[in-house]
Amino acid sequence: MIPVRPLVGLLVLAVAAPALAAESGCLAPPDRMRRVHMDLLRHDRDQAVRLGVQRPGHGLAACIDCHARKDEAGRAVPASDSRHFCAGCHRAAAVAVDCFACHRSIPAPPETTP
Amino acid sequence: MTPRRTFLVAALTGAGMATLAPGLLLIPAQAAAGADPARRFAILIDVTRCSADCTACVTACQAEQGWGPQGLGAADPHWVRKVEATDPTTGSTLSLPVLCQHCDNPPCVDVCPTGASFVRPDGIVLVDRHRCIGCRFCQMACPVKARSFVAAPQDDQRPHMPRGQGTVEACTLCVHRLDAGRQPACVEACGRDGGGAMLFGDLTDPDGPLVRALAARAASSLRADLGLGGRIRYAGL
Ligand code: SF4
Repeated sequence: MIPVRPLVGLLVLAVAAPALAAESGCLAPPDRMRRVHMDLLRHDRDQAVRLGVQRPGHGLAACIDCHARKDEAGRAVPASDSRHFCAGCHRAAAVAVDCFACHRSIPAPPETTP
Repeated sequence: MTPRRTFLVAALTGAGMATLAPGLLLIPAQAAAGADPARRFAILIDVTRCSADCTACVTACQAEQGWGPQGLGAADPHWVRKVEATDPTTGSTLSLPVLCQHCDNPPCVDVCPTGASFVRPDGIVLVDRHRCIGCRFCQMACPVKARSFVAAPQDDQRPHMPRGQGTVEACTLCVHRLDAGRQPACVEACGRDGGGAMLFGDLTDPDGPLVRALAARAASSLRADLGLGGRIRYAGL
């Protein structure tokens, strides 16, 4: 069994955990987000899934809600669409985004949010 | 204007943190907020109130977590399923919901090679899909067949329940609801649309309805013989 419990109260190595930037709602200014978004997501996902520590606004769903890009009909485009926010850089750099094999890549309709 | 990083380092070191290297900080883990290690959630299921034609718990779980039959037969997801049991000597039958038993000594966690199967601090057994490689060892190890494999690509997942092809899944005891102070969806639906057979509570609360009900009535785990300490208890088996 993986000793999860002893992790609580231990020291956790992390990149500086930022507060939400007031002006944009993002966790950090764009230049920093471009470099460290994956580290921030990884840190928060382990805290949320394994320890149940939910920090509002720090999850992938919050990023998706704000950064959704719309098609001509006003519908949010999924990650498979080249207009998707993540696709912009990830396609050019040929870095697959595994997140969306499980996570929604478009905002959720309000009634499915508990 | 103070550069953001300088400001953060100054602010954070003031709050008991140390700089290890440029950009790397040692931050004391925040206690509190998160799964409470003092809690032990459990469900008591009164089998005598559960009828064979009722599937309220299954329907509610599907709607809450976004899973359902995909035409894959035995490989279809089944977070909770209704099982009919027949006593071969008398022919009498029982119908009961079977879901992850959230064992105190979970065999799925023992066999998982990646640490994806784990026990949360409050004792809830979960799959961390970020680490799951889809080997299905846990599926084979589970004595009540609670786990299923996501065999088809998924879309339109619930925002609180990401699920995708190639990972194993099971009942989460609705952690997203528990963390918000609510009951699991199946328990709520059983009380509303079903036979009122399910009682949710905390085993560490001596005055709570669950502990009182368990004191008043004999109830056991599904496979008590295995000594796994399952926390879904059945009365009237
Ligand atoms: S299928 Fe996933 S959770 Fe199950 S044992 Fe394998 S890696 Fe662990």
